[in-house]
Amino acid sequence: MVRQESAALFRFVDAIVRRCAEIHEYPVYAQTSEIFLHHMVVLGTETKKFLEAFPESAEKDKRTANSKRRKLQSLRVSWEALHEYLKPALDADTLHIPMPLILALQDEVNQLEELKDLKFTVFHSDRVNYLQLPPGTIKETADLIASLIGGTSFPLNLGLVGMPYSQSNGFFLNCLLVHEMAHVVYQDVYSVDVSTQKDKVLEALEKEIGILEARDATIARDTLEHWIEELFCDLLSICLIGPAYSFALIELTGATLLADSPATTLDPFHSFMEYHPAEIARF
Amino acid sequence: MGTESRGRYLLFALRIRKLTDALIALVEEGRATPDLDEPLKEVLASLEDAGQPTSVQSLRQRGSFGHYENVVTIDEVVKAQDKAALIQKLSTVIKSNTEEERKSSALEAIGFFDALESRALYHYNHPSPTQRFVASK
Repeated sequence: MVRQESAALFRFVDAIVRRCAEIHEYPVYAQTSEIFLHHMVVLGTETKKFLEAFPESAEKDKRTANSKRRKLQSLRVSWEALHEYLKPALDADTLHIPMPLILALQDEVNQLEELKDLKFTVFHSDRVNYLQLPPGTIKETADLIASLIGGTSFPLNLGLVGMPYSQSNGFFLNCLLVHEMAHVVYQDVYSVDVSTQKDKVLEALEKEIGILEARDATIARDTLEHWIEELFCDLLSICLIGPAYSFALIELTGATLLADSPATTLDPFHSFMEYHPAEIARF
Repeated sequence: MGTESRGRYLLFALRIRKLTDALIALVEEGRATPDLDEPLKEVLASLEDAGQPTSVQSLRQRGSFGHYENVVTIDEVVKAQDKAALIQKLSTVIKSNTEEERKSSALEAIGFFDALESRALYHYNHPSPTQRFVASK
Protein backbone atom coordinates (compact mmCIF):
# COMPACT_ATOMS: atom_id res chain seq x y z
CA MET A 1 0.00 0.00 0.00
CA VAL A 2 2.82 2.42 0.86
CA ARG A 3 4.37 1.78 -2.54
CA GLN A 4 1.13 2.57 -4.28
CA GLU A 5 0.63 5.77 -2.25
CA SER A 6 4.21 6.86 -2.90
CA ALA A 7 3.80 6.21 -6.61
CA ALA A 8 0.56 8.22 -6.74
CA LEU A 9 2.20 11.21 -5.07
CA PHE A 10 5.25 10.79 -7.31
CA ARG A 11 3.04 11.09 -10.39
CA PHE A 12 1.28 14.16 -9.02
CA VAL A 13 4.53 15.97 -8.23
CA ASP A 14 6.06 14.87 -11.52
CA ALA A 15 3.26 16.57 -13.46
CA ILE A 16 3.92 19.82 -11.56
CA VAL A 17 7.65 19.58 -12.18
CA ARG A 18 7.10 19.04 -15.90
CA ARG A 19 4.72 21.98 -16.12
CA CYS A 20 7.20 24.33 -14.40
CA ALA A 21 10.09 23.06 -16.49
CA GLU A 22 8.25 23.65 -19.77
CA ILE A 23 9.31 27.27 -20.03
CA HIS A 24 10.95 28.15 -23.27
CA GLU A 25 11.27 31.38 -25.24
CA TYR A 26 7.62 32.35 -25.06
CA PRO A 27 5.97 33.53 -22.89
CA VAL A 28 8.73 35.55 -21.31
CA TYR A 29 8.94 35.65 -17.52
CA ALA A 30 10.63 38.09 -15.19
CA GLN A 31 13.87 36.78 -13.77
CA THR A 32 12.30 36.52 -10.33
CA SER A 33 9.44 34.40 -11.70
CA GLU A 34 12.01 32.12 -13.32
CA ILE A 35 13.80 31.78 -9.97
CA PHE A 36 10.51 30.83 -8.32
CA LEU A 37 9.51 28.34 -11.01
CA HIS A 38 13.01 26.87 -11.03
CA HIS A 39 12.77 26.36 -7.30
CA MET A 40 9.53 24.44 -7.78
CA VAL A 41 11.36 22.20 -10.25
CA VAL A 42 14.20 21.64 -7.78
CA LEU A 43 11.89 20.95 -4.84
CA GLY A 44 9.69 18.69 -6.96
CA THR A 45 12.67 16.71 -8.19
CA GLU A 46 13.93 16.31 -4.62
CA THR A 47 10.46 15.20 -3.51
CA LYS A 48 10.39 12.57 -6.25
CA LYS A 49 13.79 11.29 -5.17
CA PHE A 50 12.55 11.11 -1.58
CA LEU A 51 9.46 9.19 -2.68
CA GLU A 52 11.52 6.67 -4.62
CA ALA A 53 13.31 5.68 -1.43
CA PHE A 54 10.31 6.12 0.87
CA PRO A 55 8.65 2.66 0.75
CA GLU A 56 11.82 0.93 1.85
CA SER A 57 12.44 3.35 4.73
CA ALA A 58 8.77 3.22 5.78
CA GLU A 59 8.85 -0.54 6.11
CA LYS A 60 12.11 -0.60 8.05
CA ASP A 61 10.53 -0.50 11.52
CA LYS A 62 7.00 -1.80 12.09
CA ARG A 63 6.57 0.30 15.26
CA THR A 64 6.78 3.55 13.30
CA ALA A 65 5.51 2.42 9.89
CA ASN A 66 1.99 3.74 10.37
CA SER A 67 3.17 7.18 11.41
CA LYS A 68 5.56 7.38 8.48
CA ARG A 69 2.77 6.56 6.12
CA ARG A 70 0.85 9.59 7.38
CA LYS A 71 3.73 11.72 6.21
CA LEU A 72 2.70 11.00 2.64
CA GLN A 73 -0.67 12.58 3.34
CA SER A 74 0.93 15.76 4.68
CA LEU A 75 3.26 15.94 1.72
CA ARG A 76 0.37 15.48 -0.69
CA VAL A 77 -1.70 18.22 0.94
CA SER A 78 1.33 20.53 0.92
CA TRP A 79 1.97 19.97 -2.76
CA GLU A 80 -1.70 20.57 -3.46
CA ALA A 81 -1.34 23.90 -1.64
CA LEU A 82 1.64 24.84 -3.81
CA HIS A 83 -0.25 23.68 -6.87
CA GLU A 84 -2.92 26.35 -6.26
CA TYR A 85 -0.34 29.07 -6.81
CA LEU A 86 1.57 27.68 -9.74
CA LYS A 87 -1.00 28.50 -12.41
CA PRO A 88 -1.30 32.12 -11.16
CA ALA A 89 2.49 32.35 -11.28
CA LEU A 90 2.63 30.83 -14.76
CA ASP A 91 -0.05 33.25 -15.96
CA ALA A 92 1.95 36.24 -14.78
CA ASP A 93 4.34 36.54 -17.72
CA THR A 94 5.88 39.87 -18.62
CA LEU A 95 3.00 40.77 -20.96
CA HIS A 96 0.53 40.43 -18.11
CA ILE A 97 2.21 42.22 -15.23
CA PRO A 98 3.24 45.90 -14.94
CA MET A 99 6.94 45.09 -15.01
CA PRO A 100 8.30 48.68 -15.13
CA LEU A 101 6.15 49.69 -12.16
CA ILE A 102 7.18 46.61 -10.19
CA LEU A 103 10.85 47.35 -10.83
CA ALA A 104 10.37 51.00 -9.87
CA LEU A 105 8.71 50.00 -6.59
CA GLN A 106 11.36 47.39 -5.98
CA ASP A 107 14.07 50.05 -6.46
CA GLU A 108 12.37 52.16 -3.80
CA VAL A 109 12.34 49.24 -1.36
CA ASN A 110 15.96 48.38 -2.19
CA GLN A 111 17.11 51.81 -1.05
CA LEU A 112 16.80 50.60 2.53
CA GLU A 113 20.15 49.09 3.47
CA GLU A 114 18.82 45.85 4.97
CA LEU A 115 16.54 45.32 1.97
CA LYS A 116 18.92 46.05 -0.84
CA ASP A 117 18.84 42.50 -2.17
CA LEU A 118 15.09 41.91 -1.86
CA LYS A 119 13.35 41.02 -5.15
CA PHE A 120 9.71 40.41 -5.90
CA THR A 121 7.89 37.99 -8.10
CA VAL A 122 4.26 38.60 -9.02
CA PHE A 123 1.46 36.11 -9.49
CA HIS A 124 -2.09 36.65 -10.64
CA SER A 125 -5.14 36.44 -8.43
CA ASP A 126 -8.76 36.01 -9.41
CA ARG A 127 -9.73 38.15 -6.43
CA VAL A 128 -10.14 41.87 -7.04
CA ASN A 129 -7.56 42.63 -4.45
CA TYR A 130 -3.84 42.79 -4.05
CA LEU A 131 -2.33 40.29 -1.73
CA GLN A 132 0.88 39.21 -0.24
CA LEU A 133 0.82 35.48 0.03
CA PRO A 134 -0.42 34.65 3.50
CA PRO A 135 1.69 32.54 5.77
CA GLY A 136 1.27 28.88 5.08
CA THR A 137 1.04 29.14 1.33
CA ILE A 138 4.19 29.09 -0.68
CA LYS A 139 7.31 30.16 1.13
CA GLU A 140 6.84 28.50 4.50
CA THR A 141 5.07 25.49 3.03
CA ALA A 142 7.88 24.99 0.52
CA ASP A 143 10.48 25.29 3.27
CA LEU A 144 8.67 22.80 5.49
CA ILE A 145 8.38 20.36 2.59
CA ALA A 146 12.12 20.84 2.06
CA SER A 147 12.85 20.09 5.70
CA LEU A 148 10.70 16.94 5.59
CA ILE A 149 12.44 15.51 2.54
CA GLY A 150 15.94 16.92 3.08
CA GLY A 151 15.53 19.35 0.19
CA THR A 152 16.57 22.86 -0.79
CA SER A 153 15.26 25.93 1.06
CA PHE A 154 13.26 28.66 -0.67
CA PRO A 155 15.47 31.33 -2.28
CA LEU A 156 16.42 34.05 0.16
CA ASN A 157 15.28 37.57 -0.60
CA LEU A 158 12.45 36.55 -2.88
CA GLY A 159 9.07 38.01 -1.98
CA LEU A 160 5.78 36.91 -3.54
CA VAL A 161 2.98 39.36 -4.22
CA GLY A 162 -0.33 38.95 -6.02
CA MET A 163 -2.40 41.25 -8.17
CA PRO A 164 -5.78 40.94 -9.94
CA TYR A 165 -5.20 39.25 -13.29
CA SER A 166 -7.18 41.92 -15.17
CA GLN A 167 -5.29 44.96 -13.90
CA SER A 168 -1.89 44.71 -15.55
CA ASN A 169 -2.54 47.97 -17.39
CA GLY A 170 -4.09 49.82 -14.45
CA PHE A 171 -1.22 52.01 -13.37
CA PHE A 172 -2.98 53.88 -10.59
CA LEU A 173 -4.52 50.88 -8.86
CA ASN A 174 -1.27 48.97 -9.14
CA CYS A 175 0.30 51.43 -6.72
CA LEU A 176 -1.24 49.10 -4.13
CA LEU A 177 1.46 46.57 -4.95
CA VAL A 178 3.79 48.53 -2.69
CA HIS A 179 1.61 47.60 0.31
CA GLU A 180 2.04 43.91 -0.51
CA MET A 181 5.76 44.41 -0.91
CA ALA A 182 5.75 46.03 2.53
CA HIS A 183 4.35 42.79 3.99
CA VAL A 184 7.46 41.00 2.78
CA VAL A 185 9.61 43.76 4.30
CA TYR A 186 7.77 43.45 7.60
CA GLN A 187 7.96 39.69 7.76
CA ASP A 188 11.59 39.46 6.68
CA VAL A 189 13.00 42.32 8.74
CA TYR A 190 10.77 43.87 11.38
CA SER A 191 8.39 41.21 12.64
CA VAL A 192 10.62 39.95 15.47
CA ASP A 193 11.19 43.45 16.89
CA VAL A 194 7.55 44.38 16.58
CA SER A 195 6.47 41.09 18.09
CA THR A 196 8.53 41.83 21.21
CA GLN A 197 7.00 45.31 21.51
CA LYS A 198 3.53 43.90 20.93
CA ASP A 199 3.94 41.40 23.77
CA LYS A 200 5.05 44.21 26.10
CA VAL A 201 1.85 46.07 25.30
CA LEU A 202 -0.24 42.98 25.93
CA GLU A 203 1.57 42.21 29.19
CA ALA A 204 0.84 45.73 30.40
CA LEU A 205 -2.79 45.21 29.49
CA GLU A 206 -2.78 41.85 31.22
CA LYS A 207 -1.85 43.53 34.49
CA GLU A 208 -4.98 45.63 34.25
CA ILE A 209 -7.56 43.13 33.03
CA GLY A 210 -6.08 39.83 34.18
CA ILE A 211 -4.98 36.71 32.31
CA LEU A 212 -7.28 35.53 29.53
CA GLU A 213 -8.38 32.03 28.55
CA ALA A 214 -5.99 30.46 26.04
CA ARG A 215 -8.25 30.89 22.99
CA ASP A 216 -9.06 34.51 23.83
CA ALA A 217 -5.42 35.27 24.54
CA THR A 218 -4.28 33.87 21.19
CA ILE A 219 -7.02 35.72 19.32
CA ALA A 220 -6.01 38.99 20.98
CA ARG A 221 -2.33 38.41 20.28
CA ASP A 222 -2.80 37.25 16.69
CA THR A 223 -5.20 40.11 15.95
CA LEU A 224 -2.89 42.76 17.31
CA GLU A 225 -0.05 41.28 15.30
CA HIS A 226 -2.08 41.42 12.07
CA TRP A 227 -3.33 44.93 12.64
CA ILE A 228 0.14 46.24 13.45
CA GLU A 229 1.44 44.61 10.29
CA GLU A 230 -1.32 46.09 8.14
CA LEU A 231 -0.81 49.58 9.52
CA PHE A 232 2.97 49.24 9.18
CA CYS A 233 2.46 48.34 5.51
CA ASP A 234 0.16 51.31 4.94
CA LEU A 235 2.64 53.68 6.55
CA LEU A 236 5.65 52.28 4.70
CA SER A 237 3.69 52.52 1.43
CA ILE A 238 2.98 56.19 2.05
CA CYS A 239 6.64 56.75 2.94
CA LEU A 240 7.71 55.13 -0.32
CA ILE A 241 5.25 56.51 -2.86
CA GLY A 242 3.34 59.23 -1.05
CA PRO A 243 -0.37 60.00 -1.43
CA ALA A 244 -0.59 57.90 -4.60
CA TYR A 245 -0.94 54.96 -2.23
CA SER A 246 -3.81 56.50 -0.25
CA PHE A 247 -5.67 57.44 -3.40
CA ALA A 248 -5.24 53.95 -4.82
CA LEU A 249 -6.58 52.45 -1.60
CA ILE A 250 -9.54 54.82 -1.70
CA GLU A 251 -10.23 53.63 -5.24
CA LEU A 252 -9.99 49.95 -4.32
CA THR A 253 -12.18 50.17 -1.24
CA GLY A 254 -14.70 52.60 -2.72
CA ALA A 255 -14.06 54.60 0.43
CA THR A 256 -15.70 57.81 -0.77
CA LEU A 257 -18.95 55.92 -1.35
CA LEU A 258 -18.81 53.99 1.91
CA ALA A 259 -17.90 57.00 4.03
CA ASP A 260 -21.19 58.64 3.10
CA SER A 261 -23.35 55.67 4.05
CA PRO A 262 -25.65 56.00 7.09
CA ALA A 263 -23.86 55.52 10.39
CA THR A 264 -26.24 52.77 11.44
CA THR A 265 -25.33 50.59 8.47
CA LEU A 266 -22.72 47.97 9.15
CA ASP A 267 -20.52 48.21 6.12
CA PRO A 268 -17.05 47.00 5.28
CA PHE A 269 -15.66 50.46 5.79
CA HIS A 270 -16.40 50.36 9.50
CA SER A 271 -16.27 46.65 10.27
CA PHE A 272 -13.04 45.05 11.36
CA MET A 273 -11.82 41.53 11.54
CA GLU A 274 -8.87 39.59 12.74
CA TYR A 275 -6.70 40.02 9.70
CA HIS A 276 -7.53 43.66 8.93
CA PRO A 277 -8.36 46.73 10.94
CA ALA A 278 -11.44 48.60 9.76
CA GLU A 279 -10.79 50.39 6.47
CA ILE A 280 -11.59 53.69 8.15
CA ALA A 281 -8.62 53.21 10.46
CA ARG A 282 -6.31 52.99 7.48
CA PHE A 283 -6.74 56.50 6.13
CA MET B 1 -12.28 30.72 7.87
CA GLY B 2 -9.86 32.96 6.00
CA THR B 3 -7.05 31.79 3.76
CA GLU B 4 -4.53 32.75 6.40
CA SER B 5 -6.15 30.72 9.14
CA ARG B 6 -6.45 27.76 6.82
CA GLY B 7 -2.79 28.10 5.91
CA ARG B 8 -1.84 28.13 9.57
CA TYR B 9 -3.45 24.74 10.07
CA LEU B 10 -1.33 23.38 7.25
CA LEU B 11 1.82 24.92 8.72
CA PHE B 12 0.94 23.47 12.11
CA ALA B 13 0.49 20.01 10.60
CA LEU B 14 3.85 20.24 8.84
CA ARG B 15 5.68 21.46 11.94
CA ILE B 16 4.18 18.61 13.92
CA ARG B 17 5.28 16.20 11.18
CA LYS B 18 8.81 17.57 11.42
CA LEU B 19 8.73 16.92 15.13
CA THR B 20 7.33 13.42 14.57
CA ASP B 21 10.17 12.70 12.16
CA ALA B 22 12.61 13.72 14.88
CA LEU B 23 10.88 11.39 17.35
CA ILE B 24 11.03 8.55 14.83
CA ALA B 25 14.75 9.14 14.36
CA LEU B 26 15.14 8.92 18.13
CA VAL B 27 13.15 5.68 18.34
CA GLU B 28 14.78 3.95 15.39
CA GLU B 29 18.34 5.19 15.56
CA GLY B 30 18.69 6.59 19.07
CA ARG B 31 19.63 9.86 17.39
CA ALA B 32 18.42 13.15 18.86
CA THR B 33 18.19 15.66 16.02
CA PRO B 34 18.37 19.44 16.51
CA ASP B 35 14.69 19.57 15.47
CA LEU B 36 13.60 17.76 18.62
CA ASP B 37 14.11 19.53 21.93
CA GLU B 38 13.03 23.12 21.26
CA PRO B 39 9.77 22.33 19.41
CA LEU B 40 9.00 19.64 21.98
CA LYS B 41 9.35 22.21 24.77
CA GLU B 42 7.01 24.52 22.86
CA VAL B 43 4.39 21.80 22.53
CA LEU B 44 4.87 20.92 26.19
CA ALA B 45 4.23 24.56 27.14
CA SER B 46 1.04 24.46 25.04
CA LEU B 47 -0.11 21.26 26.74
CA GLU B 48 0.54 22.48 30.25
CA ASP B 49 -1.74 25.48 29.69
CA ALA B 50 -4.40 23.69 27.68
CA GLY B 51 -7.89 24.66 28.83
CA GLN B 52 -6.58 27.20 31.35
CA PRO B 53 -6.00 30.94 31.46
CA THR B 54 -2.81 31.62 29.56
CA SER B 55 -0.44 34.52 29.99
CA VAL B 56 1.21 36.40 27.13
CA GLN B 57 4.56 35.19 28.41
CA SER B 58 3.34 31.61 28.15
CA LEU B 59 2.17 32.17 24.59
CA ARG B 60 5.61 33.53 23.74
CA GLN B 61 7.20 30.36 25.15
CA ARG B 62 5.15 28.33 22.70
CA GLY B 63 7.03 29.94 19.81
CA SER B 64 5.51 29.02 16.47
CA PHE B 65 2.89 26.94 18.32
CA GLY B 66 1.42 29.99 20.03
CA HIS B 67 -1.35 30.72 17.53
CA TYR B 68 -5.09 30.25 17.88
CA GLU B 69 -5.21 27.37 15.39
CA ASN B 70 -2.69 25.42 17.48
CA VAL B 71 -4.66 25.96 20.68
CA VAL B 72 -7.85 24.77 18.99
CA THR B 73 -6.19 21.66 17.59
CA ILE B 74 -4.50 20.71 20.84
CA ASP B 75 -7.74 21.26 22.80
CA GLU B 76 -9.58 18.98 20.40
CA VAL B 77 -7.04 16.19 20.49
CA VAL B 78 -6.02 16.09 24.14
CA LYS B 79 -8.54 14.64 26.53
CA ALA B 80 -8.38 16.21 29.98
CA GLN B 81 -7.85 12.85 31.68
CA ASP B 82 -4.88 12.02 29.41
CA LYS B 83 -3.13 15.35 29.70
CA ALA B 84 -0.98 14.62 32.74
CA ALA B 85 0.28 11.31 31.32
CA LEU B 86 1.09 12.98 28.01
CA ILE B 87 3.03 15.77 29.70
CA GLN B 88 4.93 13.14 31.63
CA LYS B 89 5.86 11.29 28.42
CA LEU B 90 7.06 14.41 26.63
CA SER B 91 9.02 15.53 29.67
CA THR B 92 10.72 12.16 29.75
CA VAL B 93 11.74 12.51 26.10
CA ILE B 94 13.36 15.84 26.91
CA LYS B 95 14.87 15.14 30.30
CA SER B 96 15.48 11.43 30.81
CA ASN B 97 19.07 10.33 31.15
CA THR B 98 18.51 6.77 30.00
CA GLU B 99 18.27 6.19 26.26
CA GLU B 100 15.78 3.34 26.59
CA GLU B 101 13.40 5.46 28.61
CA ARG B 102 13.65 8.29 26.09
CA LYS B 103 13.01 5.90 23.21
CA SER B 104 9.98 4.26 24.77
CA SER B 105 8.43 7.60 25.74
CA ALA B 106 9.10 8.94 22.24
CA LEU B 107 7.41 5.91 20.71
CA GLU B 108 4.34 6.44 22.89
CA ALA B 109 4.27 10.17 22.07
CA ILE B 110 4.27 9.55 18.31
CA GLY B 111 0.59 8.54 18.40
CA PHE B 112 -0.33 11.87 19.97
CA PHE B 113 1.56 13.82 17.32
CA ASP B 114 -0.04 11.76 14.56
CA ALA B 115 -3.45 12.70 15.96
CA LEU B 116 -2.48 16.39 16.06
CA GLU B 117 -1.25 16.29 12.47
CA SER B 118 -4.41 14.58 11.25
CA ARG B 119 -6.67 17.02 13.08
CA ALA B 120 -4.80 20.04 11.71
CA LEU B 121 -5.06 18.64 8.17
CA TYR B 122 -8.78 18.08 8.76
CA HIS B 123 -9.21 21.77 9.59
CA TYR B 124 -7.17 22.71 6.53
CA ASN B 125 -9.32 20.54 4.29
CA HIS B 126 -12.63 21.47 5.93
CA PRO B 127 -12.48 25.20 6.58
CA SER B 128 -15.20 26.62 8.76
CA PRO B 129 -17.46 28.91 6.71
CA THR B 130 -17.53 31.63 9.34
CA GLN B 131 -14.92 34.07 10.56
CA ARG B 132 -14.23 33.52 14.23
CA PHE B 133 -13.93 37.22 14.84
CA VAL B 134 -15.71 39.97 12.95
CA ALA B 135 -17.02 43.07 14.61
CA SER B 136 -18.33 46.49 13.77
CA LYS B 137 -18.61 49.81 15.42
